[in-house]
Amino acid sequence: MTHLDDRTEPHSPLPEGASAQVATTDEIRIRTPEKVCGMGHPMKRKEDPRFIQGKGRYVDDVKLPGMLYMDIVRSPYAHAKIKKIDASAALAMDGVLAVITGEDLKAAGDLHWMPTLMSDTQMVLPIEKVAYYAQEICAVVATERYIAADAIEKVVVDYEPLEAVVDPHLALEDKVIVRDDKEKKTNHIWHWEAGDKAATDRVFAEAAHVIEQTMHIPRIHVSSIETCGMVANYSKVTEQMQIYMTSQAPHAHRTVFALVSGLPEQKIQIISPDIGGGFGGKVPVYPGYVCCAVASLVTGKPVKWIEDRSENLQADSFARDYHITAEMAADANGKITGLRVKTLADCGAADAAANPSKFPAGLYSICTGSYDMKAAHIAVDGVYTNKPPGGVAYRCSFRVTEAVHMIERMTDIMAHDLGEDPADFRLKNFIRPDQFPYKSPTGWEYDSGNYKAALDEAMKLIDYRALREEQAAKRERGELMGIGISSFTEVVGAGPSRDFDILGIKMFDSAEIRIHPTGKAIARFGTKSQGQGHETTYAQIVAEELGLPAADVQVEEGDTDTAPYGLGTYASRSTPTAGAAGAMAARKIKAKAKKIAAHLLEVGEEDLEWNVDKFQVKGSPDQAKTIQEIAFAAYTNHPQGMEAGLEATDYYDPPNLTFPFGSYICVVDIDSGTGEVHVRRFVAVDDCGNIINPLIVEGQIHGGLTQGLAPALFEEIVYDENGQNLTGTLADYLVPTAVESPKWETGRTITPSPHHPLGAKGVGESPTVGAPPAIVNAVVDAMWHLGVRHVEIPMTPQRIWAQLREHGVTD
Amino acid sequence: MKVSGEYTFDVAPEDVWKGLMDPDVLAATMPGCEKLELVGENQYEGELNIKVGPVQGKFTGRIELENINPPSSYDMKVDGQGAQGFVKATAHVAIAPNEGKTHMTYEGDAQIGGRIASVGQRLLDSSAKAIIKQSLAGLNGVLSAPAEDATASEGAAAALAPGSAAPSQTEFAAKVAKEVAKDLVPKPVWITILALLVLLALYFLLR
Repeated sequence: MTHLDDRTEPHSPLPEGASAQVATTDEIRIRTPEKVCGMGHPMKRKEDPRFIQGKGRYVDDVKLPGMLYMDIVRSPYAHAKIKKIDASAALAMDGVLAVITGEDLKAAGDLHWMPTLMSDTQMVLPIEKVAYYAQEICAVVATERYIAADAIEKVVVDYEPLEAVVDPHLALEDKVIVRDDKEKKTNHIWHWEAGDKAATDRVFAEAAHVIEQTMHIPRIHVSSIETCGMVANYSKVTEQMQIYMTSQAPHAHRTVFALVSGLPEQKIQIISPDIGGGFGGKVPVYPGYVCCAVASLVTGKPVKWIEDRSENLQADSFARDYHITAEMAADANGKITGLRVKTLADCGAADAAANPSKFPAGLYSICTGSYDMKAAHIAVDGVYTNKPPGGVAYRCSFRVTEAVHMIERMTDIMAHDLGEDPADFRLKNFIRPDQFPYKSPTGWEYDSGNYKAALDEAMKLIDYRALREEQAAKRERGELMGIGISSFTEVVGAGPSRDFDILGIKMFDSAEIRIHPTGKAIARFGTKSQGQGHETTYAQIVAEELGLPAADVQVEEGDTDTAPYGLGTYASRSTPTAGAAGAMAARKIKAKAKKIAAHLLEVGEEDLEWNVDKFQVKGSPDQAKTIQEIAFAAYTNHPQGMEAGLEATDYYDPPNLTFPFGSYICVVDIDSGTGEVHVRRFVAVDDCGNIINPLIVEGQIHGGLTQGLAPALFEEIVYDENGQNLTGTLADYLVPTAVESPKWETGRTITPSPHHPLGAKGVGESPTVGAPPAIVNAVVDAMWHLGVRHVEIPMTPQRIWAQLREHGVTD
Repeated sequence: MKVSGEYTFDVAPEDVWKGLMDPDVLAATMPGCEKLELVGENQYEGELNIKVGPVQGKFTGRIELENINPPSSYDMKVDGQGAQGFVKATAHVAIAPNEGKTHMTYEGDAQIGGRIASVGQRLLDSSAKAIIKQSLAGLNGVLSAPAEDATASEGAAAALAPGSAAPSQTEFAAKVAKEVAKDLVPKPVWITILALLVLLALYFLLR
């Protein structure tokens, strides 16, 4: 039992074989007994007892003595000059204490503008004009929530409406300038390229087949169950600002608050309590947060601000909104040779995308996907429009959803055009297992993968060939049935400090573990769970490394006064970064534990070996000290000259990103009379490397698939030509529930990451990324014989019916 | 949003015209109208309480009449705003004699923004139709009241003397639901059933 000894050295160089091919299995690795519950055990979530009993504590549950309430006046226009704000009637109301305007914020030290995560600027409260519908105009502070809500209706704002520009293509004409505060009077924000243009053009010139397709990945919203909110509590006596906030990245937010407000960072404490879903929507800093903090600064009292549902849907950062034109080239043998992509990114009124600094289009250049090709070139342009700023990476590692949608659609169109089966076409074009680590034409180094194994497994689970026969028979009868595949590659775990930072802060993450004298532990992390189950997963990582039962490890996140500094949870980065930091911190503890064990057993360290939860003398396993005995000794009987205690901290800077992958197959039936799409079956085979908790992975996949079904069939934020939001409630913006969701069938392959300390890769976002193109491919597959090449999402019955009518199927 | 329709009054065009030009009569017959005053030549200012789905709020605005050809047609410009949003509309109204009665046609284009549009979007169309029809029926009731038994006419609920209360929210909600149902009539039976359910739900939600 010496298999873990190779892992006792902290920050040891990459394991041997890091640059060689990694074997794929379907067996989950379990090395600890059930009482320890290390990696691989389907441990029930430690956080669930409080969630399922309604005992979670969210920001809106925070009630402080003397707390005031804030509400926000929002613009009914997408683009308008503000001529006058008359708050006198609101201020005359009993219980209304203050109305904060842009002028007030300006006087307080130019707080009326704030930086975005992409180093653009965004209005907190406007002084001259509004640039999007539902933009914050001013904030009312009152003694009660309902008084604040009544008071915002008493604020009279005199607007002079301006023409709005909503379509990003029209915005490029610069007839209406969204941001006239900028020196350059243009709506064009940035241009970004990846790949080799000359090589790609050559490949296209030599190609036997070239296809082209435009597609729009529409604007959607994370619509988490809990909206955003804050309780800011500033004490004029201690000059401390305590903030409860729905934050996916509390440490980064503390630094941003310190830089923007000028408050000393040690006086700011951000507490992110339980969060009811984040999905990227709780990464940005919204104007409401700043107003709430200022309201507390001004009044010296705690102030609460909680968005309502419509505010959340209409004003918070959107996701996606990429207008894509893609071309794919193939040779005479049907081998993909190149990809050429032009994309317009509709950023809204500010580039507030949650992307690493160096990547204005995020990790979009992963768009060659799972396919080996000679060359690729991607050009993206960012554009301002009169719509709310964004965009966040909704359950997505920085634009990989858009990239996967595009490549999986293009692959399917090419297969159909060449008359090849989409599964066989993929198998022919996959990057082969022996090509890993694989250098992609746009510069990524994929760590490990076995795409054929995942697709084979999915085809086996769904009985692909039989489905094709069924489809042929149904087509004879005029019935519309389609089978769609998506064999995606994800890119997560941002990221290595050489390339990845947000506002200059490198994208490491951290863990701090303290073992108490009685052998129990507290482990704190720089990330922040929003439902991912970190309290369980991280405990299992510590259990795996140290043999402490996972039940004995208390996991804590979200309080910047106690947790080590980290960049937070999004982009499936928690397990790849903070999870790795947890393993590394545990290994530092183990190294010290070995010294203590040697002291206690009076042997040399080299005579000891690790066995699940104890160090034992080689050849004499009865002579052993458990981790609990060692912990007690660390406080009661530690070797002279050694520091007492048993704790360690690790800041983990990942050497590379991780590249989870999978193959999804979807079967749809289409009602040719109504255009309704019925997802009959959906098989998802995911490979996220080594699995820490299969139960949590399964849960993540179910949730993610449902959030992948959503944009494919239902969700889109719609604006009219004046920039008026037409989907401001959950009655208009359809979020799928169990009723709309099919039965998800899951499978797995396991191809460990060669560079992650636990071989894990991250899984939270794979299903959201992989599911939409599988569903679209199935729908198009059902109608290809009619002449349908592409359908835009969301594939509403109306949209499908229009296609069917155009192709003469229905009238 | 485009709005168009027609209506037949039981009285002669001259009487209809008089009613249309009288802010007091209009204020009494329009659901939710709290004030309508002549402030200049062919210019009115008023306050209207509008309820669309879950959104309710007071709108203050200005109405301007142009191209007036008594007693046959005029154009109308409406510009209103309130805490729940704004309305900007233009409309053309024409009336003509028809066998002793008066036939009215109207068509308009309204730009509606703010909460009332984003939250009440799906009910906007039906609400606008209901407001217009109820106003016209009310006007007809007032104009023809001396001549016939008010309770027998279709506009009975709104056939009120100038100065008395406008229709209640419940009555208005029922009208909106009726408009929703009307739009759905040509659809299959199950949709009609659905519409009835919507009507019921609205009635209970809004009363």
